[in-house]
Formats: sequence, structure tokens, C-alpha cells
Amino acid sequence: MRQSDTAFDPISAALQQLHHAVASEELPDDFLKILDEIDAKIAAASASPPP
Amino acid sequence: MSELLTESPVSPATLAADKVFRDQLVALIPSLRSFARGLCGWRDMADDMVQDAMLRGWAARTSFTPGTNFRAWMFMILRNQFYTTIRKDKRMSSWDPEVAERLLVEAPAQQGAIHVADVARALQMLPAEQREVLLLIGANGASYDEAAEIIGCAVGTIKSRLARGRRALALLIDGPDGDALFDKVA
Repeated sequence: MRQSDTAFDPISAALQQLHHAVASEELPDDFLKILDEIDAKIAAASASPPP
Repeated sequence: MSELLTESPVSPATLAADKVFRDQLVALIPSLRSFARGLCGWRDMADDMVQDAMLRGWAARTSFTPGTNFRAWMFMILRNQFYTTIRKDKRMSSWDPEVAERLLVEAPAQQGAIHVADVARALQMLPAEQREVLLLIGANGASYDEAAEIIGCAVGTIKSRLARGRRALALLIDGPDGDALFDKVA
């Protein structure tokens, strides 16, 4: 393995931190509303007879 | 967009597939938000794009083949949404400064340090074709093959764009000394 393969990579580390900073945010309400709509559609389909 | 959620009666198998699709979608939201934020650099615009992509993905779910790469499939939809959006809306700015300014990346043994905020700002100055590769591989952990599938190009093109993007990022962060930073990450 080349030395650079194991060397600290500050750019990759920064990109990963940016990713984690966003990914760990609480989900905004707009997203929850979309998921609620999807869940409602699934529930409605479950309650109706299959074609 | 609510018309995309319109449904017709479905079979039990389709219903089961819908539930799996929904769970996969939920699990992917953080990565979709991260990718979109990095692409456009603006929180509200990014979240709007992700929501559009979710609705479009759900509406097109029957065209997804179970067992194939769901992440790549959704990232393709989101990426298309991004390019459609920037053609209509030229608002572009840096990452959320309140988040970025709090973060600092330091090398072990104090080899050097760069501010995440600097990387975030520099990212937005790169061509989108380089930025998206850096975000997919560097931030989201995609493989070369997966990035090529998402972007729709050859693996060699991905490697080339990644190398050019890394070098450009290093130069933007460190100026003429950026080559020294690039040497650490090449």
C-alpha cells in the first residue's frame, strides 16, 4: 500500500463532516408531511380490496 | 406535486413492495439532503429538491427494480432535479454558515488543519460536474462504479473529474500552496 493511501486526507475528512452535519439534522416538517401522505396512501390501499 | 401521490387499487404484492420502497426512501433522506445541500449550497433549495425527488421517486416506484441499487436510482432522480432547478433558478450561495463555521478538521499529529467552511465555500466555486463527484465519493461514500451509474458516464471519467476536483479544491483553499495539500490527498 502506498503511503498516501494511509495518510490523513483533510479534504475527504471535511467532505465527510459536511455530510454528517447535514445528515444528522432533525428532519424538517415538510419531509414528515410527505411521509405522512405516503403512509396514508399505503393505509388506504391496505383497506381497499385488491383489483 | 400532490398529484404524484394519487393512487389506484393495488395487489398485496404491490402493497408489500410499496412498504419496502417507503422504508428505503425514509432511510435515504439524510443522504439525499446532504447530496442536495452540497450540490446547490442552499438549505431551502436543497430540501425543496429532495422533496421533489422523493415525490417523483414515489410516483415512479413501479419502474424501480427491487434488488437493484435504490440509492443510485434515487440519486439519479435528485441529480436530474438539481440540473432542472439550476436551469430555472440561479440562486446559489455557500453552505449554511452556522453549521460550517462550527466545524474544524484537524489532522492527527497536527500535520495541518483546514476549516470545513473553507471546503464548503470552495465546493460551490467548482464546476458542478466536479462538485457532484466529490460529494458522491468523498462525502457519501459512493464507489467509482456507483458514481458512474448515477451520473451516467464512464468510470474513467469519474476518476478524472475526482482528481481535477480535488486539485481545484486544494488550490481554492490554500491558494498557490494548494499543491502541497493536494499531495496529501492524491
